[in-house]
Amino acid sequence: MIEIAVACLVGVPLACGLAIWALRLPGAAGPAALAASIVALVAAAAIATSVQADGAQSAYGGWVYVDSLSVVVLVLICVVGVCATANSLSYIAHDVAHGELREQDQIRYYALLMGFMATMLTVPVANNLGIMWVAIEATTVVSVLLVSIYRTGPALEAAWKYLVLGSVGIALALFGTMMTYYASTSIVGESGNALNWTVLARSGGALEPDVMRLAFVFVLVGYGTKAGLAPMHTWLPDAHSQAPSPISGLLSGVLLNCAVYAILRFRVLTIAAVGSSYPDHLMIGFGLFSIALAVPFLLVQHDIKRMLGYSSVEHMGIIVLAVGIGGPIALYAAMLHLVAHSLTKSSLFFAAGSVVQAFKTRSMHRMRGLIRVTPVAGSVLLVGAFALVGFPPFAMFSSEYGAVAGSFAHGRAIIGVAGLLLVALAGISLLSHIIQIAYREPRRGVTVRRLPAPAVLSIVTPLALMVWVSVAPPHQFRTALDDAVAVLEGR
Amino acid sequence: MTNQFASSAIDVLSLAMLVVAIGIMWTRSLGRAMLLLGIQSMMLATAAAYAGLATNSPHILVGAGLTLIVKVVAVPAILWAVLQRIPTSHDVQASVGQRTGVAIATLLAVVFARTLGGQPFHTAIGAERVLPTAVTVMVIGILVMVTHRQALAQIIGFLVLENGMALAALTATYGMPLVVEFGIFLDLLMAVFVAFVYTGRMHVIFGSLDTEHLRSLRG
Repeated sequence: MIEIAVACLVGVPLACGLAIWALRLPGAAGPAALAASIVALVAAAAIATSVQADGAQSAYGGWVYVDSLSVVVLVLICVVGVCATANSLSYIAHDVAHGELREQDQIRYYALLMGFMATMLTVPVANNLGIMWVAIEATTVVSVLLVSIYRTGPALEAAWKYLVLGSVGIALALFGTMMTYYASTSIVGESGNALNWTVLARSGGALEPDVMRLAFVFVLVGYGTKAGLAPMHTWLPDAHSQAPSPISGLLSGVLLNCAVYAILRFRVLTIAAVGSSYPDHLMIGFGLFSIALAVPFLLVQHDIKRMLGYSSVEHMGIIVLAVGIGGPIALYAAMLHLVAHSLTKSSLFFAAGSVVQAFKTRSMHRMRGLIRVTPVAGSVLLVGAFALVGFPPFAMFSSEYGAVAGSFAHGRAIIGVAGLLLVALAGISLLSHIIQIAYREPRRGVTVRRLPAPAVLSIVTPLALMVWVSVAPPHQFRTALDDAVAVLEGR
Repeated sequence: MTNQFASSAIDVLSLAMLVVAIGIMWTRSLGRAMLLLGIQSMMLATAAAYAGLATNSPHILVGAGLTLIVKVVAVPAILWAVLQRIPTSHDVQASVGQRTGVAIATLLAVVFARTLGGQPFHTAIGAERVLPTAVTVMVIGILVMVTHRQALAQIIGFLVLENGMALAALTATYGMPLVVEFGIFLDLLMAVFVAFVYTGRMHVIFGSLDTEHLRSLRG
């Protein structure tokens, strides 16, 4: 059962991408990609149900391993993936109609999109941390080609920075992985299993502390580059602003999660070997710095997509900070924040994409009256912005509250309060931009833009899901997060 | 072949790789930098072959073969194709002078040799001095990337970093598990190929491979 689900999860998007590439039918590419991502979503739901009922499971001779932490990341990738694909249909058609992309680019776009999905989905199901590394590096190579799909100078610049910084970062993570392998082989002997999560988690306490300390720094800096933690974040605003908006939504909403997921796995191993204060302090440092660095850039930003990109730097900082604070309350808050950020930010990027196409600019100085000109996208941007800065009743209020409460419970009150102040500053900056562009009187001559139904659905759905889990979370959702926290605590 | 002989051979090869890395930092000709990179990869493959023969482990030999195919043949071929495409200048522009660059690299080597000398690593092959050397090679790779403005030179710097890491992996753990090694080489090849595509586009859009042109996205 789990074998079939995992095969569909990774195999169907991959096969679909290859088929799109081989058959070269521009008209059929979009619908085929949408169908494949829906199949992946169904498979992810099946895996989630099965893991929640029967606990963690291995498959394919131990190459595949899914537990509650994998499931959270997995389901998010599929949900955002389906919405991004649905959103692409009208977004890409618009760009082709306006001559920004060629007819043939659609094939490349959808094939790469499916490849991107398949590589991301491999990350949370891989048992071997080396394979996980290979999958994360593969996401860079595939997604960088999506960032540069518009053949402009700035897009090329963004892609080059992403490729270079991403590769160096990920190389450092490989060095950290290699050291973990070294620590592991001295216990279980030299074997292919020595990098398997199932083996490492069992022998965690016996891993050599000095080696694991060094390994964790490399892993944190390496995967942290990919997760957009400051000061290694410089590729992120460029790539997010230059990519087509559905891809920006995927990059920010779920790719960053994959990198955070990798850090979380190594954190559990490091804590087992050297205790929690060492990784906690490092994560608190990177978390606070990322939030603090995002504030001035959010304040002066005028490019709407760059602003959302810097907001992602901030939110990854919040998640890492909450994990660093530690304890069941803050860890639960971190997982809730991860989910809420994914859903909210992908909606916002899809909406921003539609707004940018309507106004033909990314500059917020030249956008007026969003609500009138693009009613759906404008409203989503407004509601999403309130959710993003942590207004109640949205989930990010609960998660930020939880992180601060956790910091008090764990004797780290000063850190929690400092984080909260910075988050408030960042929130005010972002919100003031969005409110200004939402309500100003629209220029004369700007026509109201109507979106087709799939586009509306794809923009609204993630936000609606976020509201749902904020206001009336089903018990499966809470159980899923509780189980994920249990994995984070090494239980 | 005795273990003793293999480990001293690897010791010597790793030092030679360090010297070559410093040479890449020094040279101002892209063609020569590529040649040096190829030599360095060849040394890496040889070191892996020694380790494989000394320990009788076929998977290390497979790794050595992969290094030979990917890093000594395929990657230099791609880089060579890039160089042929740009008729303009084959000179390296760097933000530090030749002497300063080499001085920094040498200083790093000394610092790492002293600080990492007595580390908790008991390397698999008993080549104790290799790890600090490997780390220095990695750092020099990063140094080449930050100080050189040519896109091609940045790729070369990245590959030096890769070589350093592979050397570290070889000495610490006899390389990674074979499946992972395959994945690493595949990713590396794809990344270099994407970089190849981008240098082509850079040439079309900006007329050169100077990353000075890549400065429009700020703030």
